[in-house]
Amino acid sequence: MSRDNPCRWSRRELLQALSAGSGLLLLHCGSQPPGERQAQRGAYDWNKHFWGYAVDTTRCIGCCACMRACRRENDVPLTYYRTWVERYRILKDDRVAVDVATNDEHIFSPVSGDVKKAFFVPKLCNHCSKSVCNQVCPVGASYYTRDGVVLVDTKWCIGCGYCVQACPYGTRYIRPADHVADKCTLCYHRITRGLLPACVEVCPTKARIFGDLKDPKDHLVTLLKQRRYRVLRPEMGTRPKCYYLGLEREVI
Amino acid sequence: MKTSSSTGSGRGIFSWLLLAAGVAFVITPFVLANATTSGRVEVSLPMYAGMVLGGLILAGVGLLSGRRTSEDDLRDYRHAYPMLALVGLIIIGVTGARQIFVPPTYGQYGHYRGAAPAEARVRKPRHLGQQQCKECHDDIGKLHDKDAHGRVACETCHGPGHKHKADQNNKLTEPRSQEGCLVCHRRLLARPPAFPQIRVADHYRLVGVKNMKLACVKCHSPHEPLYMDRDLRKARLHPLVHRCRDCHPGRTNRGLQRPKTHPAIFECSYCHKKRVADFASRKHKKLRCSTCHIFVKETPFAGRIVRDTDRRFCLLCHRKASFRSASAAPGIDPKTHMDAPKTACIECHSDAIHGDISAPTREPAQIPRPAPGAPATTAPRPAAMAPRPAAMAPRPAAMAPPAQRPAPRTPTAPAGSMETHP
Amino acid sequence: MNFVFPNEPHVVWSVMIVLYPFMSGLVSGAFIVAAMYYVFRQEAFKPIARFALASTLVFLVFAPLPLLVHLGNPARGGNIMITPNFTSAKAGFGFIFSGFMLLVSMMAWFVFRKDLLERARGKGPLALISRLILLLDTRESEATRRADDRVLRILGGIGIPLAILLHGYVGFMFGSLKANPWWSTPLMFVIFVFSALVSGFAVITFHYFLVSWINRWKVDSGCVQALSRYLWGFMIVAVGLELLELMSIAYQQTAEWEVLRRLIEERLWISYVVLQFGLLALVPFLLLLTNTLLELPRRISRLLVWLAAAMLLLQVLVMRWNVVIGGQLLSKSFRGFTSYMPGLWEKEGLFVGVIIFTLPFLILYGFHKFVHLFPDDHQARPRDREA
Repeated sequence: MSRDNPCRWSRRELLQALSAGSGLLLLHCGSQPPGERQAQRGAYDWNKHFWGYAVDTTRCIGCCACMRACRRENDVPLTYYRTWVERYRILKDDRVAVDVATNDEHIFSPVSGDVKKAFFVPKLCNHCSKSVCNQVCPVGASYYTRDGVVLVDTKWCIGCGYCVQACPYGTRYIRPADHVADKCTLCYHRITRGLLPACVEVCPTKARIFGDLKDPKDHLVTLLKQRRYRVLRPEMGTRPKCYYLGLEREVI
Repeated sequence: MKTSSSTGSGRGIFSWLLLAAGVAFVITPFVLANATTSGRVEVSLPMYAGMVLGGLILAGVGLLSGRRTSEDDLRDYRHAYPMLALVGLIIIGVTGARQIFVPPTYGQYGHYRGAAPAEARVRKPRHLGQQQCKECHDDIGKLHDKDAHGRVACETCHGPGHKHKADQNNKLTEPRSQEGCLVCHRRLLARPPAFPQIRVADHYRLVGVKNMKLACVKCHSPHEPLYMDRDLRKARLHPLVHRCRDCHPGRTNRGLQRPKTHPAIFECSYCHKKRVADFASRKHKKLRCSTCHIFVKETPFAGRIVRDTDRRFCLLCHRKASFRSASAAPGIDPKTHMDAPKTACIECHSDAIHGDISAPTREPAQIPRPAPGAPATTAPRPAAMAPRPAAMAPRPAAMAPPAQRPAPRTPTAPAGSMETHP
Repeated sequence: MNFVFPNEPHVVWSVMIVLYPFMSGLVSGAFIVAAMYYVFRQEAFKPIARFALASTLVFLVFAPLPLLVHLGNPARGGNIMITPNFTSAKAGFGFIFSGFMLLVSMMAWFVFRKDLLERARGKGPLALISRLILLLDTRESEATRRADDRVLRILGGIGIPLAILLHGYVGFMFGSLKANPWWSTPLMFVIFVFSALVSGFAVITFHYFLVSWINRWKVDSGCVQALSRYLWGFMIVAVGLELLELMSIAYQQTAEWEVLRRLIEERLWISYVVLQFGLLALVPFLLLLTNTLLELPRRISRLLVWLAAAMLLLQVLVMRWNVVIGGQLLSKSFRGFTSYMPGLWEKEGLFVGVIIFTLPFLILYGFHKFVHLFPDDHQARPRDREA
């Protein structure tokens, strides 16, 4: 699993040898940011987690900090998006106007119009448990990890673009640098170190909620128990794992 | 091939060889699959199919070529055998050879390269998280945590911190422009109404700022936005006393690290010294300030301190009741106590609580300072600031501006109104 | 009110993916033309049977080229056979394609054995190559020829379902994408198969006329009539299916129709309504109808068939464009459309497309120099002598 980082191995061995607490551990590996979740400070075991994501659309203020953070965290080139925020404006005549701040800084500007209702909806890869993109990948370069993340094997992807066509949510694109399919990884390099995905980290209103569905004490699990939620396009049968609280009917 | 059947001499060596090879190829994948149940070699479907198909072709050619033939036969297939055998070999070769290129970890966890998830983890995070920031910037972190921006991550405004952490000469971005704040606080129809948002023109007109380009940070400290850096407050909200600058006005170039000697709990007397001293001589001196000046929490981050002047509030203690002991506060019967029973108690009994309530109540804080003169420098007014109304005098004066304060409420104020301290 | 998901302005499938199903359709169609003679023994198709088979082989060699050009990482193209993921409609591509390639090569070997034997008897490098291709077995007799015929029939019999599969599955690749209402229909498989037949018959007809005209050969009227009738029949089925698909969505007035109607009206009016159904379907239909029903002078009849074949070839190309590009113009948000204009000189641009489409014809010309694509009497009987 973690052959990539010998430091982690030594840490684990150290941990086992000393039966030391996680606090001690942090002192030893200064190169790594300290985890925010107690449970994950040891070596990462993907059988112990099942990541889920929730979006509370009623809290989103459309600042698009998530989009900027994602771009910086993951080197997402301009005009390509792993995550984005849609602004819905339902007009008085029931027409629906949607836009995304596609300018370089991702800043929404005020728009005039006879608006009945308006709100923001953040979007990202839904990490579906029956994802179409994985199904249609002809070479098995798109896969579902045991901890519930849909990832792309960028060393094996042939760049045919079939998954881009198959995703009902439009979250995939062909990365111009190396011509492979790319998408939200839930910041896999972060969450496996105990950090939050960059978009969740920077969300100022906590409209984006990330959590471990296998952990009964997790905030996300509690939230999903207590609140009503929906998923996007359930009729696609993809079983998305990105849950939307307060989702409006008009949102596709 | 020619030798095997040029004159119909029956089964030649090549026919036998082909037949044997064909059968062998048909069997091979099954043997392989069974021999390697440990899972090291994945015998994939194409390999099965290719080996079996190719093997069958080879065996078939072997059988056919071994047939006894004669010159009288209507059809002569012999020229086709080498080609057919070649095709069988190609099928076996291609399907078998492709197995060599299958990456070693393929299929370890599913139909993908088993090494791929680990590769996806290699990259170093760039956004380091609040905890990492607070390891060095604990002072700002603590200020920040208490205020309205307490749940906004450092890196939301400052950008990813990885370069800054590696080398502190790489300064983080400081979005100090008006636009930097308006990213979140510009009035947009789609923003939840409860979220604080402004239309710059309206907001600046309200607070009397003429320069529409004036940066928000000239008045609001980004880490403690509820606190105004300049006393622009219309004195409606009592500041929650948890910010350094509530008591220590002015700017400093030094860090705002809290000295160890600093009191953890603030007392009213720190700022309202005269008032508290005066109170000690009044009849109610046994009570705490907070008995009457109740802190009302209005949002998770803000509240105000109100005093309740409703007579019913006083009567909570002063209503005459048979169960009260002799040492209890003197009780009255509100029905018979006065001619005008609706009048607020405080209209007659104010001297039992405070003296002249129109007098200034607040003085600069009188609490120990960490080092002589450390944070006491008062910054000059920003030049860009519009000419300020008298009420917005530099801070120390604004602490006690009795002349501009609205006149104290007369006793005829409607009973039960929640008045606020400035 | 036009909204597309922010990644959608990047149209992933370009001119190359339009070209790929077009060429793959030509492969399947041309193979069926060849099978008409080699499997079904329709003597009318004899003059063009070899030509059709050679066309199949040449198109087959070049059909994956647009795919490879389109792939982000062409060097990894082999992965599709190394680790095929069989839950994907695309994973079988490598195997079906190579299988069909092997089969058509075998058929070509048997068909052109006679020519190779002729060459092998000569001297020089060509003779050596021929001998190698023949695997050093140069015996020839009535018995071997009869054997070849039978082997061809068997191989052709296996080849017909493979040809249908080869192209039908391209249709399935689109038809199975549930995210896109413009593609997602079970009819897509059948539509692709029939449009492939149309394009195959059209390209053989068109090319046969062209080559005869350039070489001043006499065109075999029986063959032309047979080709034109099949062409007519297949085009009716193909266009009928395409219409059926459109009509059923339109009549059902499903939620998708709202946006599909806008797609047709706003973005595909010219290419879909005017060209695919109007000019390039109705006109050839009328031309072929006239040719079939009326006893026309031979010259006019041939002109009509040639024109119809050319137009139908274009119709199929336009249909591929409407499917591939049309489906991508439609946003998956169902709230708007993106736009696509192929560049001229870019990697997946028009110029490369034209080159890729021209190459098979050049190779076919080389092929023609090496073996006989048309019956000997054909080539020995120029039109001049006929007069």
